[in-house]
Amino acid sequence: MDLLKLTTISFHLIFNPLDFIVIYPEIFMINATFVLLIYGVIMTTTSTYHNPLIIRNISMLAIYVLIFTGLLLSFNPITNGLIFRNIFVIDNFVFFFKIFVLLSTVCALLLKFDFYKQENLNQFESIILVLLATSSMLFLIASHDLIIMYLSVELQALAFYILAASKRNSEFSTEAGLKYFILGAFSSGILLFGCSMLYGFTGLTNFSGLAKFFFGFNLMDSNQFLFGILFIAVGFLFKLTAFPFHIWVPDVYEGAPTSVTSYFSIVPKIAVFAIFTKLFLFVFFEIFDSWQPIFVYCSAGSMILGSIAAIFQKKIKRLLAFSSIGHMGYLLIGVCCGTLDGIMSTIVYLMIYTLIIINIFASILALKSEDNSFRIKYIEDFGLLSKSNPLLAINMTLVLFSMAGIPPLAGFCSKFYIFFIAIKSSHYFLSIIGILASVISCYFYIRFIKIIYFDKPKKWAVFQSMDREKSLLLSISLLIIIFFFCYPSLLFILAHKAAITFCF
Amino acid sequence: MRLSVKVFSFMSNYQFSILSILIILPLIGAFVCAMAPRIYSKLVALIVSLLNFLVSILCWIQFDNSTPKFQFLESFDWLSSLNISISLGIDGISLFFVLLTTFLIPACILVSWVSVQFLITEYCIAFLILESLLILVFTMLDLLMFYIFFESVLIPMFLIIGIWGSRERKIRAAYQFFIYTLLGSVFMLLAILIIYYQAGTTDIQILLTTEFSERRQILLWLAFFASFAVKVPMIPVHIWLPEAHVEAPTAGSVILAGILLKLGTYGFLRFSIPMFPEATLFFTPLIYTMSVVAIIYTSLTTLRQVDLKKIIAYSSVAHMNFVTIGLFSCNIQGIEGSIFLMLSHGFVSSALFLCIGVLYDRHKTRILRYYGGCFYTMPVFSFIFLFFTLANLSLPGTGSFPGEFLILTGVFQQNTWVSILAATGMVLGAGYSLWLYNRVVFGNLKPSLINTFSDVNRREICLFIPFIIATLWMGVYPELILDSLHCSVSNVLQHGHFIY
Repeated sequence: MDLLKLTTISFHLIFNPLDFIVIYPEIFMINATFVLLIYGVIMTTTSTYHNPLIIRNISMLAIYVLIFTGLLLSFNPITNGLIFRNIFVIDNFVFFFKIFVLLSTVCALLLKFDFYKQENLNQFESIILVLLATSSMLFLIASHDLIIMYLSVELQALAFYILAASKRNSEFSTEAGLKYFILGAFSSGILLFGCSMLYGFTGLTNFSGLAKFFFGFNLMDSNQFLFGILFIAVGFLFKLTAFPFHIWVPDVYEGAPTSVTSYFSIVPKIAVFAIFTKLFLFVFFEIFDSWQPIFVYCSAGSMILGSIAAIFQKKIKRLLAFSSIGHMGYLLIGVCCGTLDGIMSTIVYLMIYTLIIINIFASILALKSEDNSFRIKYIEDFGLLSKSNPLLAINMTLVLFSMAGIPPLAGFCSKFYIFFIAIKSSHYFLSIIGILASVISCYFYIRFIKIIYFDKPKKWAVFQSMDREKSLLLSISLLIIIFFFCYPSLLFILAHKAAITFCF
Repeated sequence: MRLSVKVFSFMSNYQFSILSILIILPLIGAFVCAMAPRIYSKLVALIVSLLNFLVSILCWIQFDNSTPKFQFLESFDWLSSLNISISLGIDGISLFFVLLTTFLIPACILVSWVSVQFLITEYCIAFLILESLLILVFTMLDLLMFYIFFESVLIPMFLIIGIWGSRERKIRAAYQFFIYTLLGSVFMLLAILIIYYQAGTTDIQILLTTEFSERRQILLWLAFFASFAVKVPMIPVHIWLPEAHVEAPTAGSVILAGILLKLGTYGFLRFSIPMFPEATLFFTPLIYTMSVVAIIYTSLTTLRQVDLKKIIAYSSVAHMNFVTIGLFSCNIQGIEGSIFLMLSHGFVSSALFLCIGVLYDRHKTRILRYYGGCFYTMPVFSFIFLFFTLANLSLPGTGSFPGEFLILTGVFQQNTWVSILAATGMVLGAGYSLWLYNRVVFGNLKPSLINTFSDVNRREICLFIPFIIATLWMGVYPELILDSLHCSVSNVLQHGHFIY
């Protein structure tokens, strides 16, 4: 027979060619990433064009790539199904989270624009790494198999290790990258060990297969695979910066350059939360009672730690790191509940948290002085911001009130919904700890506002006006935060559409 | 996923009435204030707030006294998946609080005409937004939305005390104000969530007919109490009030004493008493004890104070605890008396803070020993100050007297000892008020008081005249206000089966 016909037939035996239509967005994104890499390398090493600095150029192109990927996703003809022999899945939940990841990456890239000029970091490789991490996150969200999940997590983590150490002439940044790498590799190892233990006991790696396996399973017969689930949970809790596995967070967030820290705070949590929710609330749903206590204690611990430890911080990035640990605690409450409402509340909280974090980091990045002589590092450096940038001061005040959960801003609505769902599922312990942690965290947010309005800074500085991208991001996110409570149904309906796929 | 959402679905069940104007008008005013040139912002704010006052008078005229039902109803969906909707409405009780709010805000803006020098636009915007939030609090018929606006009043007050206060200690005062109030209210949030979980709705009109079990009522009542007790303020969580009053600017004190203290007692009246009647009866001795202790203790503390504003602040604490005694007597005289006392305290206390503001504007100090013999150089001011001092100690003929008399009548029917001890509060009130007046106005003239621009000018007289008229009117013809209260108060009591 023809060699061509043989290969075509064997190809059709392995893959359904229609499957490739589904991953057109990812194919496009990876190809575009490499084209941009080649473009960057050629342009920066060519002497004909006098080695131009093309970082802004590549950033804009990367944003266009992301937007186009989003468009490809939206207009994809196939919207529901398992592809490539059940290792990837596509449905409403996956689609929602992919769009969410792409939009937040666009916002994070917009934040990076001015940072390069300020820090003299002319590395276009960081943009390429961001794009690679994004494509790995797209695969991660769509994964339906333990092996694929692990591969995507590893790819994303590798890109992040390098990003954390990207400021090459700073010891601080290198230390942060190294710490992240060692602890991250360790936790990925634990994750892999858990996956392999699970495979060892069940013989399955596919999510649907595992879900069917646990259906009607009697835990009395054999429960050794619970160790596997425990290790997987530990691996994910590390990536999610939850309580006992949070130790790397303040150091890494502080050491990495600020734009990279903003990227860390905004994007990876979304992707990891998506796969985390799917893993525990779809695959391990039948053995809910065994793994629920882990997350109850981690959530309570995260909330308490996030509120108390942040009181003693003097540096702004460490404060934000601890506050994000606290916010992860609130998110874990939604997962602990194990109901559809729980998933909805988690999604709503995640969306509002992303908006708030984008706003805060945009405000911090917006403050740069004339020749970079004055860097914002300590909280006291924000002193009397109300006199020099009154609009930015009002913006930060409202966003900090939202983070503290004061009505009528958006942060309160999301916290209220989480507590409502917790009480509905009888998690009284968690909700009381949650509200007490809210009040305690209020203390340092209000102290921040007090410093902005009333304290005299040690060094006076004149700040330059911020660039257009940051001002757009700030104004749009602030408007949404202020006026969210007027019509919250929109977000809730989106979350409901995403969450209800768990019922099928 | 194709996203097809009916974006304007809330328009489908949407009713509209005059209350929307009351709420939107200050917000439009705040927006115009922000856009207008700086020299016009005070004028715009004053005009908008006076217009709002006229609209609320219109509400009063159109109000129907003969029914306890909520009038001028409005509703729209907020979150239809959770069955929470925003419903606005007024009954006899809320009507007067809305009137008090719209009366006090123009006074606040007028009093800061010359004394606030920097960031005057933001000041006016803060007050207009505060007015909008307060009207929303008093007219909201949905428990969760009431809570949201109840708490959001903290944000403008925090900024007003912190930015435009007079001394360095203002930051500590703003902190205390904020965190005290917040800690109490998060427990209220949990209680609201439990109520929602049981009843499936947060609409007040439905919740008033929901029966909670006794044990649950006690827990919910305690959670609500934690929040309202800080706002009233009751002992021992009253410490934020003297600090906040002293550090706030004059207008901030006026609005704090005039309206914000009433939020706590309004909460008691609207939520704790009708929705949790058994728990109310269970905890009445606690409230009586705390209130009586507060009245006597704060009246005695007043005698030792040297700061003028602190004296009036402590006297506010005493009056508000009088109000809680009246509220928890749970009969018509007690509750009507407490509402009346709340309204008259709103006028009298605010006017006293305005008087102190007059003195502070001229001499920039509030220490009592600095003043003496004001009568010689400021006779008109002394007359106004005397009028409001006598109103403060509930002289018959002024507004406070019907209030206190009705409260004592109501309490006497329940518990004679409490009424006797509360009546001693009136005597102590006379003690500190008259002593304060004596030391400031009579006596030897202190040399620092001889000044060319001493007496009250035209703006300040225009400020005081409405207060004098209101207090006299309430004292001489209280039926004007009590008329609209009868049906609504009977309704509140009937919900809790206190009367049949």
